[in-house]
Amino acid sequence: MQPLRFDPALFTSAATETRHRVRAFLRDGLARGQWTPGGDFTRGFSAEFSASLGAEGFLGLTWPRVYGGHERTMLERYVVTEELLVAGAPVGAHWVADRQSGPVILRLGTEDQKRRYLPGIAAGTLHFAIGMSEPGAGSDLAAVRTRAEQVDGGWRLRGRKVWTTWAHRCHHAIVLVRTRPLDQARRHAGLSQFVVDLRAPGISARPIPNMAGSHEFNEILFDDAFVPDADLLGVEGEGWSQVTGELAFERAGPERFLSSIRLLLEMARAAGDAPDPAVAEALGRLAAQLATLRRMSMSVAAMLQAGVSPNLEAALIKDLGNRFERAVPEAARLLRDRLPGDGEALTTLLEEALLTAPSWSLRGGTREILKGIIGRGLGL
Amino acid sequence: MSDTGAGRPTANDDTLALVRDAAARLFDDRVDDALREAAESNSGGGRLAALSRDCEAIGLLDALGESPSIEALPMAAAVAMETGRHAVPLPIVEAMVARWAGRPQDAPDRECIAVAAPAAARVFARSPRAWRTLHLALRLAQATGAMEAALARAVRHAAEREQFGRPIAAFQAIQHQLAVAAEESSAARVATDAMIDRLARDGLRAGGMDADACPIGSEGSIGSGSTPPVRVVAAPPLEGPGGPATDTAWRALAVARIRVAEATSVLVETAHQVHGAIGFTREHGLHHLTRRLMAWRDDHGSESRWAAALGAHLSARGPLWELLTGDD
Repeated sequence: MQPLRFDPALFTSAATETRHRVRAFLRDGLARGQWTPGGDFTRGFSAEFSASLGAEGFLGLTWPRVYGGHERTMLERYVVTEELLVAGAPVGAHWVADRQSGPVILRLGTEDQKRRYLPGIAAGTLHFAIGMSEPGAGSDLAAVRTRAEQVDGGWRLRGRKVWTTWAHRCHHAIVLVRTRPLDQARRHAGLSQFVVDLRAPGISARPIPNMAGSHEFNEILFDDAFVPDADLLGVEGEGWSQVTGELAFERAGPERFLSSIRLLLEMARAAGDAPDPAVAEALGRLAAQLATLRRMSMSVAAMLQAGVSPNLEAALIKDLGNRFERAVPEAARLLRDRLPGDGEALTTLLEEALLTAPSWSLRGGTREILKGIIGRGLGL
Repeated sequence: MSDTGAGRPTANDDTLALVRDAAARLFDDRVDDALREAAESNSGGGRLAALSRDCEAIGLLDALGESPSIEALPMAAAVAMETGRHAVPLPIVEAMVARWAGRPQDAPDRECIAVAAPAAARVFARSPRAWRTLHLALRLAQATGAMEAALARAVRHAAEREQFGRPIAAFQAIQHQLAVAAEESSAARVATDAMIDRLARDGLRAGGMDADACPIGSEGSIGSGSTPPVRVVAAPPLEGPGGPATDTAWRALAVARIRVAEATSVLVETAHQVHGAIGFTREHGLHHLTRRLMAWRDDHGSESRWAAALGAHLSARGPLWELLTGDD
């Protein structure tokens, strides 16, 4: 059995300082009416907000300065991410770019790609979407059918991607495609990644409204869209291992257990300073779970910092975190008639949590896929 | 202070690993189901006494050091974790606390304290607050060791046991249960490590030498005849004299108590479910872990009681997010 290790992260004074700085930035923007708090991290998209966050030096935090980064630690990035989520800031424009597109380009990209993309991402002005899932390839990602055919000077893409959050407003997407025909015996071979300009001819986006009544999802259609050779990411045919390496960034962050944090904090506020015993017990349990998840996630941030790729630990935190974040609306629903400060804010947050909760344990890997990864990690 | 955010190295890391490995080797070598059974039927005198002497010889019983410092708590916790992992039928945790207090005469008889001997339970039934705080801290470490052992056993069993022509580990229904058990066990370990680290650094509040009338466990396990008839009483949540010296350390203790108890319930149920009927037999040793875990789950108050105390504490001091991040 492979040991699961979550060594304690050393919480540095730099991280505390960064937390105070980002809190002040958020307080200030809120006071100026620059943005209004929303719920889930996928809900708000503000190019202006992301650009001002970039200008303050909160994006590309861990990257080399030469690419617009700030050479700070993963723990500081963790802190910034947490505070953005707790504030309900509109992070949709930079979220994917800063979290995974940038790091992947930094790790696998050519010097030319790093110089073309990273400074814009760190400035909060270049926005990325994820091009992985397809109608026939959800949990079974290796089943992607979008093809890229080699032509003079580049590749022609044909196919479609779905669930691409904010694709209609993003500049680029990193798209996983088949560059060689499917070999049933080696399904993971022959896949490649491209950095695709979503404004190029032959690419269109169609909205997919969700059950919560909002539009973040899209279907992207590639109709013989041309992508130059210079935008092949990493090695042709190695897309599978590249994309699985990307998932530690996608799964380990605090957004995987903070989806309902604003509801929990509103519950705690509405409970007052001497809550009913049933409310106190629920708050105590949820706080204990949250405190523990935070430590686990900070430990993963420290592993990423050390250059380890903690895929197993990330899957574990995400599944555990999803259970926690789903327990919050359940507690709020059952206990709200015992919250003296119950009001409109709680109603709004609770409704939004109930309506978006079904997506929490799907996005970034379903709980079934995650448990499979953990099981394999245990040697099963 | 390093700025990398990587692990927290301490000067004592090497010594701690040496003591932990020595304890693990000793228990691997000497503790088996026959000894555990003998301890419960009061018939293991010779072997238990020998094991006690060996624990003494390699310094395990003094791992917590001497009152009032609790700097050695991480070392004692590492030992406690091994006693849990091996379901050692000696009250080593209780002995460490009694020696720390400089009252070895109150420690369970070092020659031979079997699970069935109620002496340890009596000692800890009327003990100063500081003893109880340390006993709880070490008990939680002990429980995480037992949970890791129960998980490892269940994983091994799933790989070995065949039904429908293949190992039951091949079934998703089994894999997913064990995945959740691994999540819970990891969470309990993280919460416990953080608590031990924080408590060792912050120390205990002075005072609290008045005895609480709070029956708590000896090394005993449910069904061994060694547990007081009523284990769960209105246990004070160890705030104030004799408790953790800071609010941060008290919160870490409450978080660990809650998270370890929650995880215990999942681990006990899953380990038995995966083992099937064989795990329910006396002959199969799984119960030596799970009966202990069920007893330890309620020591010093259940998670329900601690959650209510933590919720009230946080509400009185609020706001919640500032409190949680302030504890980093």
